[in-house]
Amino acid sequence: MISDATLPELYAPWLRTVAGGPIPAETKATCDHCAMLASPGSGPDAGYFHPDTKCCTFKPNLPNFLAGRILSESDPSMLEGRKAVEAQIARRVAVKPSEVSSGFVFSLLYGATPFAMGRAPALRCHYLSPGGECGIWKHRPGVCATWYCKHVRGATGHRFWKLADKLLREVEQDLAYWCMAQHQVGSGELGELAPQTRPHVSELDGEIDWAQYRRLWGNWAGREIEFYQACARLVETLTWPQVEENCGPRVGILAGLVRDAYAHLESSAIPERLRIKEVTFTGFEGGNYKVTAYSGFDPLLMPERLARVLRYFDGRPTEEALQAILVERSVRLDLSLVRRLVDFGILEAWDSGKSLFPMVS
Amino acid sequence: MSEEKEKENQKQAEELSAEDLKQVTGGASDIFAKIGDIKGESLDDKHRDQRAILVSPVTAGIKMRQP
Repeated sequence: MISDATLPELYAPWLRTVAGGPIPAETKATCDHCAMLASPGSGPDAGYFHPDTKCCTFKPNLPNFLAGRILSESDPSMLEGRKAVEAQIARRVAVKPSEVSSGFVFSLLYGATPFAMGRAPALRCHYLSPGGECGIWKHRPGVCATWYCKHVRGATGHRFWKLADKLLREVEQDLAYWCMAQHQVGSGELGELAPQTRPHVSELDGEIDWAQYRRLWGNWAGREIEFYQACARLVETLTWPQVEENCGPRVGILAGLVRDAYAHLESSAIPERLRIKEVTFTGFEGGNYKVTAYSGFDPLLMPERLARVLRYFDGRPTEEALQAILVERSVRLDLSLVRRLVDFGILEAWDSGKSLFPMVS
Repeated sequence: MSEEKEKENQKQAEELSAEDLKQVTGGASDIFAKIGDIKGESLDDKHRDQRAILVSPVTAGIKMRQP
């Protein structure tokens, strides 16, 4: 039996409603026993995550209503996260009515450092407890709830979660603004004619711009925790139809795309025609090729016999390709393997009629 | 190929199923390529005798799917 994905309390019923069914857990991305850490049995030539951080070298923005849920949380396992949010509010750094932000210094470093994910301990998320547990797990934002290093269904799973991420980012922004409108705060933040694009010195231990801070917060200045908790109360009872009602049209469109991606996730159909999409051979291990296709975080071991027959998938009908492989190469490919090659983006469905540049010979 | 040979191939066919395409721990690493019998100049212990053609995942066009 496939277990349900562990989603944040607020988002679980929303995403199940959008998808139209239970969302399968990504069992290959194991946070408790991180699949990206080196272990005695690990291959020698792999890029591993740093044990102090695992994938948590990303600092998420917390929309006001999630910040409020964290600040109202009495669960001892969320204590570290709550303390981190309280500390940031006390410093008044990157604290806005719309969100408790990760700040521009983080964005600059993360954006400018190639392959920083999991490998840059200096970017450790400040919501992680000293023991390495997520301090905001129950109320983590969409970007954290939808990112997985590995997917049971490869690119098919990645597409579903990536679209869920886009949807939740949109929902987070729209609902945060909706909360601000309900509490009559936000003209200072949205009225900025030149949006901030670089760090303020306060992020580097410099002085706070108090005049700007008071403009942002209006009557709520000094009562930020109360404000965030009020936002949480506004959002916590919303059903998915009410969420859509309070958000912009992009949310409805993205919800449709998530539903479509979910249908693919539930399907194991084999396309009528297939061709090679992309595969990079990165090494040789235990008699198998080490290959990467849809993501560098999710490499595969491919038997040499399989690698040698991939070229048969050249757009001809899949049944013909399988028969030719059997007759000419004495290899019988199970349909579950063909589907797996599609899932991991090694093969793709091909329709010659839709080709922009049709083959001429 | 003769019909007989085709039948023989089918009889002796090796079965490959989904379990034969395994996911592994860790991610893509820098790639060392070994070219024929040419002794290389790699300074990395793990690749001592290989020609030092080192390609990072990013250079190799591998997508690192970070948020």
